Amino acid sequence: MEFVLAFIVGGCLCGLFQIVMTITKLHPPEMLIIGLAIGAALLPTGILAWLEATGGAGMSIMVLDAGGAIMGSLMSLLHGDPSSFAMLLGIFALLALIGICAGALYQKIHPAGKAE
Amino acid sequence: MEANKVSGAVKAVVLAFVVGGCFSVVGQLLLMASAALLGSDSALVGPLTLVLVGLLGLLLFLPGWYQKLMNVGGFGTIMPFCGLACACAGEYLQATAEGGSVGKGAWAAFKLLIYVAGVGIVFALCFALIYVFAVTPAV
Repeated sequence: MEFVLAFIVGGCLCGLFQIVMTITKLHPPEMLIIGLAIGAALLPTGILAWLEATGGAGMSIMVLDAGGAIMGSLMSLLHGDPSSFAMLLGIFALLALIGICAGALYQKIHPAGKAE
Repeated sequence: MEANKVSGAVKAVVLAFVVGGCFSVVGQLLLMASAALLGSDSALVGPLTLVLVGLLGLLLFLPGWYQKLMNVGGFGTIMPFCGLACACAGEYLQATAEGGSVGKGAWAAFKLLIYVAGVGIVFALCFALIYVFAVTPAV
């Protein structure tokens, strides 16, 4: 049942953002920023927690939840605890490194390939 | 012509739903694996899951599958965390395509991250300041 709910919640979030991207014609980076901002704004409302309790990874692996995580860690930082914000920055940096490794390895595997 | 546009948009939304849903199912498996490894109460379950999702993106990017999925699934591939990792990979490839150095490629990837995460953090900071100093004391 968790997998069905994860599929539904995750799919709905992606479908919703696809609609917004189609209507606004914004580029993916700007849409990701909007996702982070909306997630941050929604954290105090409890909606993110409900979505995560319902949809599990359908929520927690999405950019919306990252926005909520940023908001939560910044609130901890403002209360004097920088640890969760530092961990979040570390995760973002690690993601970029994973991306760089992916790009570098892709070039080795496909020497004549160009960026798609 | 207009009907074609609408049906194309509807198809894109349905595909984003399906692809995003599939990533969520795999993410749920990774979440359960992380919880089994670290214990469900561990604060590192979430971070480990996100890193594993990023690595999933790498595994899909290398054979070119992620790129094909992105053409089909649109935001269904971008919204999961692996989307950011693969976007960084794309920036690296674009920067090094014309003979740019590894350093140039890495900087291009980090610039994208700084742009997306940085602006997101600025927004979140504004909301956090409002919540901590205006909303919470008023309650």
